[in-house]
Amino acid sequence: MNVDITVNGRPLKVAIEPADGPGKLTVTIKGKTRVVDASWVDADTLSLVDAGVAREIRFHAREEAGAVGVEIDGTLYETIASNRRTGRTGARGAVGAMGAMGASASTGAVSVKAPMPGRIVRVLVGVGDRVSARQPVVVVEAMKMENELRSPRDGVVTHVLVAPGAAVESSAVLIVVGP
Amino acid sequence: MRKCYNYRRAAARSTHLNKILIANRGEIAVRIIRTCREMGLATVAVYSECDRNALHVRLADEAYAIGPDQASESYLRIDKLIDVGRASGASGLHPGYGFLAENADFAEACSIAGLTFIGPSAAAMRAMGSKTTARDIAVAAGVPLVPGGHTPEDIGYPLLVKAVAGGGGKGMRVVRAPAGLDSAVALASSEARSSFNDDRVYFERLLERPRHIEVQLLGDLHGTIVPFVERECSIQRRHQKLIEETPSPSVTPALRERLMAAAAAIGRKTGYTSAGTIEFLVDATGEFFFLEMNTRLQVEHPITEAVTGIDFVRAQIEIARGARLADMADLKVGATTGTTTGTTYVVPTFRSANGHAIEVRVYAENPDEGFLPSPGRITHLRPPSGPGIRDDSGVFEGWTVPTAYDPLVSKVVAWAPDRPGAIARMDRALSEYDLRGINTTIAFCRDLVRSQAFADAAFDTTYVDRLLEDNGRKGEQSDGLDEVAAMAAAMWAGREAGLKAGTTNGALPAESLWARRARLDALR
Repeated sequence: MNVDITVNGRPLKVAIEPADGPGKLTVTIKGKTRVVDASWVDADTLSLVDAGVAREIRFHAREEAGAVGVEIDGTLYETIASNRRTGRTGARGAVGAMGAMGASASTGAVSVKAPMPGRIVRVLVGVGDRVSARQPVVVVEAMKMENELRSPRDGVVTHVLVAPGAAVESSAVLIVVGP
Repeated sequence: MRKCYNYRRAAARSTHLNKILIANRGEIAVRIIRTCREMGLATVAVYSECDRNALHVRLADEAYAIGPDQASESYLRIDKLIDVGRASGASGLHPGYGFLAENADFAEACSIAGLTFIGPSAAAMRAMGSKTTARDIAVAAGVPLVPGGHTPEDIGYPLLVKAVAGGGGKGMRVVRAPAGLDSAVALASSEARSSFNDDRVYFERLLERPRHIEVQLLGDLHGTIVPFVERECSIQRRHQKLIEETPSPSVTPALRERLMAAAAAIGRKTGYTSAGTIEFLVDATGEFFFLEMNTRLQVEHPITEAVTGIDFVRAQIEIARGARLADMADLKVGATTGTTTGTTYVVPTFRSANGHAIEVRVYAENPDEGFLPSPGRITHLRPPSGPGIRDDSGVFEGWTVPTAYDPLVSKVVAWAPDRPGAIARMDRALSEYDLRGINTTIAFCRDLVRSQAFADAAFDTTYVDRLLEDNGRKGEQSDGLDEVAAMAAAMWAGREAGLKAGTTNGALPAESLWARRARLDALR
């Protein structure tokens, strides 16, 4: 099986085939082939023995198709897989990763989303207000702390979708800022 | 010759304080229940709707519902807590920390209802709980203060806006220039209102790069105050403590004497009883300033327990029963009394701590997203254990960390005979700690503990914030494990593909998955 993997945005091609012996797999990355011993401890935990080096791999489920967080010795690698044979892709992952802040856009309407479930404490802007990038626009309380959410861009507020006191779910759109 | 104090016999003798209501939740409620159980005392838990299955409810002898998730309708409702006290027949109440722990009205309401409040007197809480009165008391005790006042003009910039009733970094904002004042005051007072039901704020000069050092006190009902070896709490992010240790690597024996004497002097000035903590800021020259007093058991009390062998919750309960500190064998209180600053205090004979202890607070927060809270379901949990490790946790695998409360999920304490040993143990423990489903500060704190700056103790209260500003952590550089990560991700993808094909339930051994996958591929 051939899979294209991006690790923290860096593309790598991986080929994996079963090898002789229980749990043994032949892995080829960057032209180097090796035989590793992989054993699933549970649905999200892999014990990987590679030339005698034993590692516990902790997977962190992600919402985006093909995406999974890979934790190795405390370091988290964000990965996205696309299977070359089936063409199944997790391209949405790259967008999702930036989702909460609506960060990349500097043109077009962008939304300020709730990064976690919480309660609206204050709305600092109204429709038609001109705002600058990083200006606080709404205050959300979650877990006893008030968090100021900022406008991702310069522009004009086109929608205010919440009022103080409202309970909001994660990723709920709170405010939209247009050009 | 010292008389040994037999807690079991005392518990059996006393008909008073045999059932304790714990007016709190999370790890601290669990921690208090544990001591009560060891002392043979019955425990009464309270819970909001989302805490029905919480660990503290599962561990307690009795449990009572007190309302919806919002703390203001449950854990902060004095009337409901008093009702539970009556209904359960509890004789004592432990408030934990946070919520109503420093609310003097609550302490009074408990007394009126016949519930012994396991904490300081309402009068001492009023005096020391108000930051402004506390400052007057510190002055009277001859302890220096950080300059502060009620108008920014008195102080100059940079300054701190602080809630009069604040604590735990809540209701506090830094202001570097007059332009930022209004928004900081609004945020601080609004946060203070929702957290402490008191929106008053005052101003304090911001010391440049100070260390946060604090001294734990115990006071009994007979006028004895005992100060303990200091805790170093400078590893903070925006005034929220992340890592604490004791003793402080930066405090000399001479400074230790002065800090303990100053803390005891403040405690005596208020006739303080039960557990409390005097917080100081220490500047680069070793000068120290009284910051505030916390009139409660503190989050970081386990590190002092680790180096003294004292159970502070048990000490609080014994004190509430009228025990003398001098009679408690594990306190090892010597005859030494000091008279610095004109007051007397008892100095424990173990003033040099036994070994070194470090605590890491594990928060449900995402360090890669500006430490935004990360509530949710814990899908995997393997807590750290082994030599010298203690994990005070309020969670379990399958538990959903609610959005309504403080994001602290667990406290890892590492003890070793010396500081390098404690650092090595903490590093090892955090590498074992497997907590998935939510984002936590485990990896972030492990990086801190492993850093050269931590080994050298080259930090102050601004260290973490400056570090975060400088590099935003880790960045994009590859550390050579990209290929291992890619290999693992490919195995995950292969397993997922197997799942999609309906050939496995995901729990089968790897070789059969791969054999099936290969067969599927061959069939195409």
